[in-house]
Amino acid sequence: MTEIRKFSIPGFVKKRMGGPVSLPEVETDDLIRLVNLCKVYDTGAIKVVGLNNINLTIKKGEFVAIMGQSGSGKSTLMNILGCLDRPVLGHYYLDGIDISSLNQDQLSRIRNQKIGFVFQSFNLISRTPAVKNVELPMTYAHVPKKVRHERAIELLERVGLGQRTEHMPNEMSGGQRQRVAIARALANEPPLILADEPTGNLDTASSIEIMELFAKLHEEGATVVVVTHEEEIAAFTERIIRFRDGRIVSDRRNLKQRIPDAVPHSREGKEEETEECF
Amino acid sequence: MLLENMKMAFTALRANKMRSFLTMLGIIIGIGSVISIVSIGDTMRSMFSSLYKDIGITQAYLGIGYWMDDVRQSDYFTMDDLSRIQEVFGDKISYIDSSMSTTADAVTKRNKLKFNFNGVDYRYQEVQPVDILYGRYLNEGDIKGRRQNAVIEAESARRLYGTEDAVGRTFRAEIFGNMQEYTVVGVYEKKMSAFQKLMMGTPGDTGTAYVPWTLLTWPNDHFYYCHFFADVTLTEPELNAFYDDLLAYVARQKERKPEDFYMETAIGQMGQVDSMMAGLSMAVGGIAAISLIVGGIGIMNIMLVSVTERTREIGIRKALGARTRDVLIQFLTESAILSACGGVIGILLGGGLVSVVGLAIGVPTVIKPGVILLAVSFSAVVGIFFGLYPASKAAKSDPIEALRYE
Repeated sequence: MTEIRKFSIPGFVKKRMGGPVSLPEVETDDLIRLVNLCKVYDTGAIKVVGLNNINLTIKKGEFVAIMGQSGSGKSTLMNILGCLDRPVLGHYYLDGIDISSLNQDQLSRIRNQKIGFVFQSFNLISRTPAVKNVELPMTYAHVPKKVRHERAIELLERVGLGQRTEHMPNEMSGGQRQRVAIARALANEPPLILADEPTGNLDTASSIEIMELFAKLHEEGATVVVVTHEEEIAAFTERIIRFRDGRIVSDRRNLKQRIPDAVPHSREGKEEETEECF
Repeated sequence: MLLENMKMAFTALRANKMRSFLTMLGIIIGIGSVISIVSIGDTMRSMFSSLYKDIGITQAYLGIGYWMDDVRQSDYFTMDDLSRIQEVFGDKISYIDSSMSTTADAVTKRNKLKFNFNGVDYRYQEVQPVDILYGRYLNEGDIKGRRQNAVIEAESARRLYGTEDAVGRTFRAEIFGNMQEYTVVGVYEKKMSAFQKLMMGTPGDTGTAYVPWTLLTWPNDHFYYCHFFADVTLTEPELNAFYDDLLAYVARQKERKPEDFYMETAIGQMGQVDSMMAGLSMAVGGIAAISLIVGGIGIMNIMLVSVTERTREIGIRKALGARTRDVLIQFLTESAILSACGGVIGILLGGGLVSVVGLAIGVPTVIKPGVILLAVSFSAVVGIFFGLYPASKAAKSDPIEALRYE
């Protein structure tokens, strides 16, 4: 995999993107900082607590797994971290920016510039070639056509799909589709890669490939947050945060981190963590 | 970004070719029928206007009002009146006569044919040109000498004599109780388009002949109308002013008010026909335009289906940084393109149909660029208007819900 060239948006493009949707620049080491974060779903008769007073900091360059059963609040957290949803109480600082103070257009800009999404079901746009899918976030960032096409090709080469740039999503395997999605997540060089069950729809071999790719990106300096319920997947990360009933129940370093290129199917390094939980 | 959106819209529409076409069909039929109806109307108008040019756009009749109860003999026209009018208005009148005509049987040794005898001056050829096939037109000598000469129409000549070359042949006719022998001095033909024949009526069983008006009108005769042609170089306002002046002059001469006379002008008739046709094509075109609204509803319907189908795509786009506005514009572009494509196809179809039919029946068709422009912009407006609701529905959708949508 070739080292990616440093990419920056030209000034004249930035000017066009300006106007109401500009983002404050804050220097901070904390990529994610959650302060007393609460999310309550109001379904009319009853109020369901999604997240209960979460305090959490993730520094730049970390490789974190968020784990929990369904209903534990990890999806709610994922939506808030992804700026798709806003907290009811408390604050979420992403790269120093207080998300709760932003309007819809600013949130779109944040998602575009600060976050790279990888979903369980890939979420590629159908009947659209891989390269066009990768170009999409750059399209919304008004990157000139030629620049974004070249960069999309580079990114696809980087995830090992240099030969399949013109393939449609339905002509690719699950693992390949997820790699296109990862290339797309990298398009605008966001500080945060947010992966929601990235291996949920993949077989074991593909899952390991994808997690190795994340590990590689992490080594190259990216901050990666993976939401999962599989211990084997969490084992690739260096920090595991466990959720139950909308609360953090454990947050510790993964002592037996599974290093990339390790022998597949080795299950070591997970039992130790589980016994910490109740 | 606009180009980007248009490309995206075309890709989306191509993905569902059949559906896109069926959706367009409403607009195609709507625009097609509006274009063809308005063009048929415009073509009819141009045909009428050329018809009136042919029969003489400056032609008019003037007479005492048929609604008058106390018509005196002096209200009718005499030869003296005509020469006075000619003197007073000079150059502005290029032709004037008594418009006297009568029907009588023309009898030869073997044949008999009913004829319409029109009393004309030799200068009638200047204002109502006909093609002389054989012989000559009436000349000054025929008029002044009150010679019993006639110029007959080619078809009538064939019926009466069995040949078009009837110069020198004679027939007898009883005109105003006076049986006389007439000599054919010329045979003419008047070229008419299919439409003119339709409007003017075919000669049928009756023949047509021009005879010196002096044969039909005697120096002290009184007649109902004065028939004249104004100078063709007059502009429309000048022409109308001339008609008013003439009316006022005649009224003064006859010690009447101008309102007591009626004047039937070709230009006035043409205006009536024209405004009637314009109104008719507007009305029918308006009804056809209703089908455009139906087509627009079809577009809205399909766009709503498309938005629902592509909920997930909308969610993905929003997660990747599309703003509400971006999604709105994307779907608006799609519906506008759908509608504008339908509009263009409708124009080609409607315009093509009218042109082909016009070519087939030998009538030059009139398709105004303004109508085409109006149709295209109207169809785009329909697309945007009916696309607005589905597009805003798409744009407002919650990305979390949209991403979860199966």
